[in-house]
Amino acid sequence: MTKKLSGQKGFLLIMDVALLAFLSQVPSIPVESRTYPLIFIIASLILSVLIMFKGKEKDQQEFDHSSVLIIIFAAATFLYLMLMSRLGYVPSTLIYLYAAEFILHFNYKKPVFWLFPAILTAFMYFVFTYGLSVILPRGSWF
Amino acid sequence: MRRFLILLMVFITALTPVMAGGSSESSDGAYPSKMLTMIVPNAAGGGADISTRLLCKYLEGELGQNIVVQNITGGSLTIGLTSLSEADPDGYTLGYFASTNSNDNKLFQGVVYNADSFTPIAMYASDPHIIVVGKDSGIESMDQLLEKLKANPGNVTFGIGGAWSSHDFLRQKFEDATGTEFLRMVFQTGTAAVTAVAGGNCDVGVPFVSEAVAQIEAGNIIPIAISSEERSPLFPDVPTLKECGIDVVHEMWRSINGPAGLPEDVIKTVSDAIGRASANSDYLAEAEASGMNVSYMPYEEFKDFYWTNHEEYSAMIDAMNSGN
Amino acid sequence: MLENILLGIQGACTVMNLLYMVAGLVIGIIFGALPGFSATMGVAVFVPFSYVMEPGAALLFLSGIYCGGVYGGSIPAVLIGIPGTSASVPTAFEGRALVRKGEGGHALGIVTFASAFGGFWSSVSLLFFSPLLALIALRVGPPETMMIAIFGLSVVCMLSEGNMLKGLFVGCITLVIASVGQDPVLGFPRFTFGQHELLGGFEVVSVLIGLFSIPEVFKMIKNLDDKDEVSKIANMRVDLKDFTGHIGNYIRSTIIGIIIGVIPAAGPDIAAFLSYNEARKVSKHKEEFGNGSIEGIIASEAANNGVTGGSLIPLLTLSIPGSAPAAIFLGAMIIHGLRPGPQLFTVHAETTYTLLIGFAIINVLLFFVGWIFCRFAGKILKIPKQILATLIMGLCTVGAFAISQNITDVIVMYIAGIFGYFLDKYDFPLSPIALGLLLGPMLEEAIMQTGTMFRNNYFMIFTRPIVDVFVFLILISFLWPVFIKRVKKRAEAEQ
Repeated sequence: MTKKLSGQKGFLLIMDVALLAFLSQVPSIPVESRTYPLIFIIASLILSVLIMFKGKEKDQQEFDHSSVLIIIFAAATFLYLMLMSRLGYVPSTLIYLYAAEFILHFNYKKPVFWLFPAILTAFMYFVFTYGLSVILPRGSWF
Repeated sequence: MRRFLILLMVFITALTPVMAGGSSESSDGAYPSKMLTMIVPNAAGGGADISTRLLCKYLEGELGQNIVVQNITGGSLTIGLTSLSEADPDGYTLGYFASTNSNDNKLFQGVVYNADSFTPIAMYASDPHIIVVGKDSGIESMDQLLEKLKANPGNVTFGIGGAWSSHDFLRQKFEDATGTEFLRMVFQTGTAAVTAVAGGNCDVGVPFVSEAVAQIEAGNIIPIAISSEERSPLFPDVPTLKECGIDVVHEMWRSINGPAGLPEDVIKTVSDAIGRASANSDYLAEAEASGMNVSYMPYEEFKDFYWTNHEEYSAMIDAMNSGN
Repeated sequence: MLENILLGIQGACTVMNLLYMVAGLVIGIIFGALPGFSATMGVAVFVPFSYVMEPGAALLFLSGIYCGGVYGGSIPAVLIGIPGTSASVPTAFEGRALVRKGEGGHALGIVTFASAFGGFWSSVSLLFFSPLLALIALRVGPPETMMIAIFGLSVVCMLSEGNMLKGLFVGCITLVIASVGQDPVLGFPRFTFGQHELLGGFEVVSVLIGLFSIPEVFKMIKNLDDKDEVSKIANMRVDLKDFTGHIGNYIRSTIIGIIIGVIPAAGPDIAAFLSYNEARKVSKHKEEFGNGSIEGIIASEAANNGVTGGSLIPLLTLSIPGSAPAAIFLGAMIIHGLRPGPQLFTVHAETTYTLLIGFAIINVLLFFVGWIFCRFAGKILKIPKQILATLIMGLCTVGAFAISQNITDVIVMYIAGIFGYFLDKYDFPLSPIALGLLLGPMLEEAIMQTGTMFRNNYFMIFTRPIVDVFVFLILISFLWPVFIKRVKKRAEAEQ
């Protein structure tokens, strides 16, 4: 065991904080429906402590280039969700798909790079709006 | 999880305007001059969805515009109703509304709409409950049920299709009117409650007629009373609760509502269109086949009814909360 | 009966109806195969379309979507390790490993054959044993449902063998997450932190979409430059040996599927997990499970498609839907004036038997349509990973939105995905989450109802024969492996 806080322990601690937040809500729940979740909250807490002390830990890879990629990709996705409500489904999806391809180093000299996001977005929009009568998010800035 | 919830809150405040949808382009012609959206807070395929879609099919003819039914589900119906309450009051976004919804803000924290957030337009259907018992229960009439109840207060199980559902309110009314007490047994749907009654696992059920027909015909459950003002044409031999000497009339009504502040002419147009559709014999035939009980109440009556109903349920919720 | 069957054959075998079946199957397979889209959703979005069709044609069309959807989820499960629907999660454990071994075509062939097999016999049981099997639906009350939920949750232990603490932790925390929203008795909003969007709890489908798709996408990104990935599925094939060698497995899995189908609260996903679990217990090659076991695939596929016909049994006879898509099916029937019940088999015999016979035909067609579809689907391995990752994210987003048409579910999907990524990174098993979310609400509801039934005297459940059988089964399933080990050890010691 190293002194440094390992990734797994950090993760478990976050889970425990969340569980404690849930636990703090328990007293406000009527007695009839409090026991069931309480049992599992406590069980989870106990198990997390056991894992921290006993659990085997997988050797973690070094923080490398691909991890950075994943973080950027996740951040782009986060922005996409924020944008979808402002710009509406079609523009935000177009931007996101191009951005995703770019982040993942897809060769932009290939025609697929330019065609794929446009085709996918248009396809989704038409299938859902006209085919399936599902109204996709419309932007609030328009 | 904390972080997640904060995030969620940020998102929701940022996103709610989108869900309202609909652009407020001004119409040069008379209302309606473009496609309408009908928000249904329930999932596709259920009773609410079927009845709304059926109505919309005939409303399209009456209004001369397409109507897109949008099932915005989740949050125990509150997400769809929030969308409706926040829509532009231009008459192009309307929605399905049922008897218990106007008190949601009283029931659940975080619900931002209240009875004032909607414009009641017209009631189009109203489903009575049918009181049923299992075939092996030894009970065959309401009198026998009451007898059993009085002999075992708080010991006869009453299957309801969800807490704060129409079933639950009927139980409350029934108990108040007869001075009896049931043991609540909660299921997620009316169908699940009927199944339990048919299997002998629950004593009494109060499903909607459409939920019970198959089991009654299969002989697994016995209907002993119906909660409507008049007897059901499907079961002419089943007496109403009033005929049994219990002064309770309880139906779950379904209406079309708009967001607050709809212009008078829009309300009038839609309400009249629903009225004309409700007189259409094709519609009535299809409604009967689908087990929906058409009951049209025009705007003039419905707006008062909406508020009376709201107060009534509000009082019941207070009583139930202090009872629990 | 025979007369009705002939009537049904006549009704189902018109050119139009056969076309509708094929169209339904194709749509269903596409819905099932795309991550983020499910069989339930396929049936839901096409119900309004069916309103304008002839009743018989409409029901056959929707049946096609239903069967195709349950089958289609397994194609991406095999090819890229992302189950298209939750019913294909166990298939994903095995399929991906087989593709790596260069046996992708074989895996897809078996998936297709096992699905058609399960579906076909399920529809036969629907045709001949409906009244009998419908009794099961009535006999299963709250105490029995409770036992099924416990039995299902016990699969968590098997899935996390060798990693028990982590498996149990994930299972327990999922049951806590599943309790968010209105409680099943008083309707009190638990753990919603004032957010009305959470009143109904987390949307299970969006959580599962995120959980199983996004970690895979991240893994793809991690291995972008990996050149030696398999990009071919090899020839599609099923050998006679694949059938004759596993007859017992096929039959057992199909029966599990049918029975789980009949039971109202459990659907194809639970059937697949249970059947996979049973197959592993009796298998002679346990070590293959998780590393590309043909037996595992057969078990999960025969069972999930076995549910399709079974779930219509209580629906047609007693108006009790046996699974989520079946519940939407009910809506479609009602709108066509076909109210479930005894009358369906007399007054509406023509339409009903058209449906019943058509259902069997659909499952035969499933084999051929599925086979053709898989040959095309195999091409997705050739798609550059950058495009595939982007495509999956796009599909998941729109799919999660379409389930309930609100953005909350999309957010829930992404958060579940990131959560899943970390779980996977730290070697926590993901499948207990699927089981916990699907069975958690069912378990709590059943516990509360059982408490009401027996006035909180839970020992009374042992007065119910089916419960006793279940307790016996659970005991056996836990003690049997221990017993076998003992016997083997003794035998070795004697040698």
